[in-house]
Amino acid sequence: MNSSSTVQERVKAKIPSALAQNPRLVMFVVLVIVSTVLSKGVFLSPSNIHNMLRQYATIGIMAVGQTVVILLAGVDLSQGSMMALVSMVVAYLNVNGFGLILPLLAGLLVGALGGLFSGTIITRAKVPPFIATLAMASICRGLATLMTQSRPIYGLSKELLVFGRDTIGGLGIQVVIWICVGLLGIFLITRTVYGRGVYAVGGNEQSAHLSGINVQRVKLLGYAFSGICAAIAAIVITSRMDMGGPYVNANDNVQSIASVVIGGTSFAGGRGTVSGTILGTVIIAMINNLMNLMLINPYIQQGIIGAIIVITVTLNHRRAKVE
Amino acid sequence: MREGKTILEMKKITKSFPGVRALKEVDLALRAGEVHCLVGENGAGKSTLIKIMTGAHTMTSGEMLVNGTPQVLTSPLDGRELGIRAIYQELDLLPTLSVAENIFMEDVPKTKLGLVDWPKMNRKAAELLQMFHVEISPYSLIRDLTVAEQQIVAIVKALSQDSKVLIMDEPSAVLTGSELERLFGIIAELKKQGVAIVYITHRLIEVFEIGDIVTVLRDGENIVTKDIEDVTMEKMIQWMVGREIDEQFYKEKVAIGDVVLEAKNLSVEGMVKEASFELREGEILGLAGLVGAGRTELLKSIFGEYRLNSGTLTIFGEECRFNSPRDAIAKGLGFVPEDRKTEGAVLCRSIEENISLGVLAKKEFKFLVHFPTIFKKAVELANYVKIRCHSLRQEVVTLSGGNQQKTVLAKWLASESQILLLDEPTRGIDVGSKLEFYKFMAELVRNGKSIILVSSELPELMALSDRILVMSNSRIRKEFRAGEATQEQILEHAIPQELREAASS
Amino acid sequence: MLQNQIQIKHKAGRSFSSNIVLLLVFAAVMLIGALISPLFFSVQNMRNIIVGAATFGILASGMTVILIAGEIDLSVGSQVALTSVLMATLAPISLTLAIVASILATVTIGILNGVLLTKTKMPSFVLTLSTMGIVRSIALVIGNGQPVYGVPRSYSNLANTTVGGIPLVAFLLVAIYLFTWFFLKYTTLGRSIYSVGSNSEAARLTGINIDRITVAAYAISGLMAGIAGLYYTSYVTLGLPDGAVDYETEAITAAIIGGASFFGGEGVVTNTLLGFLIVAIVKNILNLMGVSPFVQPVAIGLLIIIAVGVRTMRKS
Repeated sequence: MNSSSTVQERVKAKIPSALAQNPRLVMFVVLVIVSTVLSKGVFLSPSNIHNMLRQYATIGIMAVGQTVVILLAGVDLSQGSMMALVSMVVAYLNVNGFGLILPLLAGLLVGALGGLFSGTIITRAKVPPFIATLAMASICRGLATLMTQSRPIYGLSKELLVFGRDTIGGLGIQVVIWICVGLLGIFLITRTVYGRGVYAVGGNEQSAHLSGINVQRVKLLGYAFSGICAAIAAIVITSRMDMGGPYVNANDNVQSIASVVIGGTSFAGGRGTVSGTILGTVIIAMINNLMNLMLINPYIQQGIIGAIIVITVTLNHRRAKVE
Repeated sequence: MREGKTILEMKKITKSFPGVRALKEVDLALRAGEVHCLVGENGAGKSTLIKIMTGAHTMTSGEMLVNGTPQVLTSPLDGRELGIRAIYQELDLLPTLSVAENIFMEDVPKTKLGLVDWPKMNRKAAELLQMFHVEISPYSLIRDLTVAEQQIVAIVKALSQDSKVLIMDEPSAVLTGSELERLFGIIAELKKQGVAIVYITHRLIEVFEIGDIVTVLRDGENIVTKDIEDVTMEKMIQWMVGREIDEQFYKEKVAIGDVVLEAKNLSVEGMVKEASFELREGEILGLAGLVGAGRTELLKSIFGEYRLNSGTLTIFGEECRFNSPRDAIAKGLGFVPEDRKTEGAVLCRSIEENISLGVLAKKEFKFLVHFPTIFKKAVELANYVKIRCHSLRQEVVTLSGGNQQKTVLAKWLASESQILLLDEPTRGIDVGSKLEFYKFMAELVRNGKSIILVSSELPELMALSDRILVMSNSRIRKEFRAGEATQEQILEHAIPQELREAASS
Repeated sequence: MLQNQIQIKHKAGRSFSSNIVLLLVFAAVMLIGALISPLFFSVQNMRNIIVGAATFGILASGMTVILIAGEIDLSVGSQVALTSVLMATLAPISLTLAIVASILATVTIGILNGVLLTKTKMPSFVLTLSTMGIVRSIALVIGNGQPVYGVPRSYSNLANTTVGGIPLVAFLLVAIYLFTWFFLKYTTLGRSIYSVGSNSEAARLTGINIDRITVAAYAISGLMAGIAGLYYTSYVTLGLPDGAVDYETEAITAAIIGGASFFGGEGVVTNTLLGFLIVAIVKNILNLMGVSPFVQPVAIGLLIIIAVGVRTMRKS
């Protein structure tokens, strides 16, 4: 073996194996075709696609953070509740005359601190991630409802509504934010020292530790990032709904995890990509869109997401076994 | 004694694993009321042999007779059916349950209604424990017991069933003096009851204390089976180590430079006791000793994984206190652990990423690096250590053992480590890769690096090292220069002091 | 003599002292309750505590079984909601049919959980998070997203019925905890659940079929969710497809405070009962103090963290 051949082979191997190893790409193509046929072309209309993306931007943003945590062999079950809490904090500060910037910063800070808190419990007290974040979910949910005795906060200032409603060059701002967060996630994971640390810690914590990686810090920052993503999603949804909503949609968290799973990231940690997750969210959006087009009972839809998680993980498991 | 009925007979047992033949046509016969000691160096095939006896492994070829009838065991359950039981070092106990429950795990006393009969279970357990004069309550949870107590429970558990053959895998590794005596008492009792016992040990002196017959395994072959009366300690050691050195080693003469690492009275609670030595530039320092002598622990405490209780470590003339491996790496140390799968490599990531971890470890506080440069460096190093692969993007898990090990080593070259701590680096890799590895080590020291090498293969250690330190019971006992010592001499110092004294008396 | 001493020392090991701690905590919350409000020890208040919290008390006993097996079941809250919808839908036809159908449904869900888990080897929280969504969606579809009226008055009165001043459900709770305690302690299946959770490899080597044990544990969790759902229906007097949200968190909290561990093989259902009472009383105290009910989830979350955290610290 020599270096030049590795590089060449690398490029050559990339294209065909990408298709073979990416069932989600196949899934994506099949969904596009099925949706287009069933909707008699309506699916492919720019407005349909745009609406779909706008609707799923919040899930997509959360899923980017969720990817990092699952790559670390953990999970964040508190994202949905964190979103409610941040929505309330942002709305509360906004209607009480703190303008735009301060509420946004405060929201992001709450998300980051919440993530750091979960991360601390996980790394210091060695509480399993799903339990620590389940507890965190309960805490955030309580705090969110506590602020106004479970009443939504209305009357947000106009400039706050920008994030859910306006467009830049025809693209909804929330879609732009999703793209930015996605690119940031991809950059963080593939182009920084931190990203390498995430893969190493998720893949084999002890080896990573003996290679000089600060395992605790990598994990802490991962949960903080997940919290920040939930906070960004909260800002978008607050803006879109024109209110601070204390209610938690349990399904949001499930969809965030489902995006990651469909995106090909393994719960064992160490394997997966942010780009896969973004595609995963798009696939979920398309499935839901398809179900809407087919006038399927909306109540069935959240069940379908659960079924998709089970099927995807099962298929991944099968494939791993065959290999 | 010799007239005991043959309970288990193994004929021409061969076991092959992909790439290795672990056992070659081994014959062994176990008789009732006899303690059959099994000795040999690490990797001699002892554990493979007992796993075949119990059914945990199936033999590749050969025949196994139990009470004269040929048997094919496919799982440990089959072995248990036939009354063949092993007490392993990794205990198969249930840590969160009580002693009584563990003893009766397989055969729970039940009432007429088919319910668990707790009073009976606890009473019977207490009786059994009493029979062996052990002060363990049947109500205690296993995890609250000491390792020695757990071992005793495992033995009592095995005895509570109707065992015909009882295999003890190095019980003395975890038992202390008085506990061991008690175990010997139990063994004497079992002999009277006509149980055939297989006793595996590294402490050769025990062979003379309790053995009736001894079998020496070496490189998967039965070297000799003899009555204990016809054996001396010296002969036994010769059989164990006396392999003809057919392996090739590679060693260059390198100028030894200044002291790069100096350890003074390094102590880590329960692991390392007052270790003092120095390492020079261009030197390969060998660490010999039996399993559990504290060699790995010494390496890990130098590498910052274990916190020092006392003593000083001076590296490149500077006194160091490491809080974590990170600090040690920053100081120019690199550590190739014994188990590359759980500690060395991140198996599910690519070769390139694994190698680059060494570079990145030093850039802890930098967020951004120029990845093409890092990639280029990884390519260089992969070529340098000759990793055979299709692409550097390949996951490490797909590589052979030797290439995985080269990846781990390349990581430390990437971090420009000056002092390399190698823990059993050639274990489980094929002969060709081994030779490559030796040449590679020679090249490293030629380039001014220094190596501390732990190896259980004495010929390898003797051929490669400039000096050899022998450890036993967490202490450094003896230092030899290259070519100064024979295998027998080294092994003699590796056997704990108190046992040697007992042997000579 | 010496032997006796050693026996006593061993017997009074960790499990014994943690029982004492649990009892002390229980006594402490009772005391705090008494100090906070004279109403605390009133018969009416005690009744309220039990009647209000019984649903998750029943769930907690099933959750203990699952935790002992080394797994988790996040789908029980949804199962309770499904049961209430089934009850409200079917009870007008026949109460017996409704009860049988509900229990059959949840036990089947439990078995499916177990089978999927053993076949796919995915982490149990992922699987049951998914089934949580699926079951919830079934409940919503049956109820068309709306509360379902139709629970007979006679049935919904059961929750408030008392016998000799003691609410009927208290007897149900005692019966369930006795049953679970007996099952875990005296049956082979119960002990096998402990073995599998404690060291599944060792359990396998003794000839235990691990998969079957896991499925059985989930079936029991399903059964308990069904029973909890039956009571819940009576308590809320209608079918609530979006009810019983996050009940699993409270059930887990009770089991953890009672000493069950996430690593399996550990847990005593009588301690879970204490854990459940502690959680219920803490919530009651918050109510008596006039604290907003929205503080309760915060308290639950903190209780989980404290319970697990304290245990980890004690171990190290």
